[in-house]
Amino acid sequence: MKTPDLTQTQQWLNTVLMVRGDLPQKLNTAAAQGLTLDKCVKSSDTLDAMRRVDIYAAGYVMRLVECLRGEFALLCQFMGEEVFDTFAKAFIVTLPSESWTMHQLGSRFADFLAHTKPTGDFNAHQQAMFSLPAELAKFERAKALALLKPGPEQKQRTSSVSEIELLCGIAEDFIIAVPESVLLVQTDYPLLPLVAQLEQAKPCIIPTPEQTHIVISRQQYRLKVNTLNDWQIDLLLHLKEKPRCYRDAVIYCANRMHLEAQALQSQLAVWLPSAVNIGLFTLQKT
Amino acid sequence: MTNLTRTQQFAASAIEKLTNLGLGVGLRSQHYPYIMSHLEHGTSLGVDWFEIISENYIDNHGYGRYVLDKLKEQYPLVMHGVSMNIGSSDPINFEYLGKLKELGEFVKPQLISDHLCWTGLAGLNSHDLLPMPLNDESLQHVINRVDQVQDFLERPLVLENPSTYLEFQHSTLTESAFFCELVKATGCGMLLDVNNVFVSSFNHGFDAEQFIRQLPHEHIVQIHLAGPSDCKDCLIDTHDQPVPAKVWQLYQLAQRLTGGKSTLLEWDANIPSFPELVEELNKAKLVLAGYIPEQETVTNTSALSTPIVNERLDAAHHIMPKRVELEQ
Repeated sequence: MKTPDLTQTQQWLNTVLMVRGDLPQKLNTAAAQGLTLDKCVKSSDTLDAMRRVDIYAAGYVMRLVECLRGEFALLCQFMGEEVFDTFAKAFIVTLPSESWTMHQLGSRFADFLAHTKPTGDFNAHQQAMFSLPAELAKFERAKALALLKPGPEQKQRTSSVSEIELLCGIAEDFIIAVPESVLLVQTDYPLLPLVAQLEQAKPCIIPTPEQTHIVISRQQYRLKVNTLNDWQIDLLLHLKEKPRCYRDAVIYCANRMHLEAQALQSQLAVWLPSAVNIGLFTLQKT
Repeated sequence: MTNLTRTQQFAASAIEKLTNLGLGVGLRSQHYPYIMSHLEHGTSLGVDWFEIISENYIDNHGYGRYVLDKLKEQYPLVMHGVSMNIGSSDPINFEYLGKLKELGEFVKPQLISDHLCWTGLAGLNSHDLLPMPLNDESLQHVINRVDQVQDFLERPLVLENPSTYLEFQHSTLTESAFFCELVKATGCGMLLDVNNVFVSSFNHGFDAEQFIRQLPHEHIVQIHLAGPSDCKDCLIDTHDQPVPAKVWQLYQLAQRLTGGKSTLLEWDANIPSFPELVEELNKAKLVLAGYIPEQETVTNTSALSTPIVNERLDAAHHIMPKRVELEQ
């Protein structure tokens, strides 16, 4: 057999690491490319080639499972470690990492769980048990992103504003923006009570379906979690596209939500100061 | 003279000018509260410098970046990467290199290092430091890529010898010969991990001291220390144990042969408190004074190879509660 070149050698080991199956199955798959274990890897009296390759193959999956356990700690608690690991291993084998950064590892996990969810005629409890893992994964992924994205801390000139100032129209020309650290999560279940139960290691009460909009924000590097109503979501999404003048944003949102601009402005006067405090918005004087 | 040659000469000359930073440790998120409290009070942390894992801070605009910003004001930093994929037959990832360079402009590190290995192929990433076949073809391949990386980063690259668990049948060069040729051709630096030498020498049955004697000492700019796990049939590079006596002996030899280089203690799993870490690091002073600490290699038959040094975002610092704050 001709000496394999660098590409062939790396293709062989890459296959052994990443294809599905136990080690003999992996080696069989890799052998179909024309290289065998004995032709590739040296053995010694104390450590044969099989064991040497296994150190890499086993380590590859288990180290990434460990990383997923870290990012999806609540989900792991909800599912139990054994079940979680089964899905995590399947995820790693099915969708190997395509990024050089570990920050991306969990980006497709929620979708993977949603796509592998059993379908059929299940009762409400079963349906919830099959749906909640993907929902929790979506929530925990958003938390991870909220910790990484540029947040309001870097904005040097963020202005605070009071209810009175807003009602007096002082902020009309302020530029209002949503930091990248703000993440919206739409879920089919009200997740937050379940999240609290898991965090406090209390018995879980399985929720009944209800569309919920959760917003995760960051202030002074601390995460804040809230649910939002329809006009709050609309305003947030509108401003997430790009920063706008406060007055224009209010008019736009009022029109879209079929509200009186003045009524919306009053509601905003009450809500906006606390929303700025939890990092949902930044305000800058023009 | 071509630009490439100028780059190589520049790299070699820059490597020569690197100073001994003293004793340092890897920056880990578990220690953020301790470090920040000392930075705020202006009290000494008991180390001379820090090494960061580059990938943990690229595209990270969270608390880790804030810590880095404060730390760099008071301590020299070095950037150590795990994703350059320098030995892969995939094309060089210039998007990654761009981000690495950008981080370098922010951190202003004394040096930027990675590993003599490959981490992925065909766009997939194993997040592991995979072994290279060591022969003329792979040597030329790595030389070409180091040249390109140094050109792009406009600074010398430093490469570390990884721990390995397998050798390829078609390897024709020893790792020390590979490094000698590589640094001669590119002017790049070498990060000598004496723990990795210990691990690989045990796993492949070569003489660790002889290996260190054969290295290009004038190109060695930094030394890594760590503690591996003894799995009976092999050693695994786990970075989760105290440094064993045999690694300290290799460290002593390496410091003697290189004339004294920056020393870094890596500890990435079962991470001790910061003062305990410093205590372990300070054993290096005893070693340089001629005393070798008595420490056996710890047995752990279920060890996994080098743990991924992934920043724990959820436990990153003292002001980040374990639980999110539910506002309603």
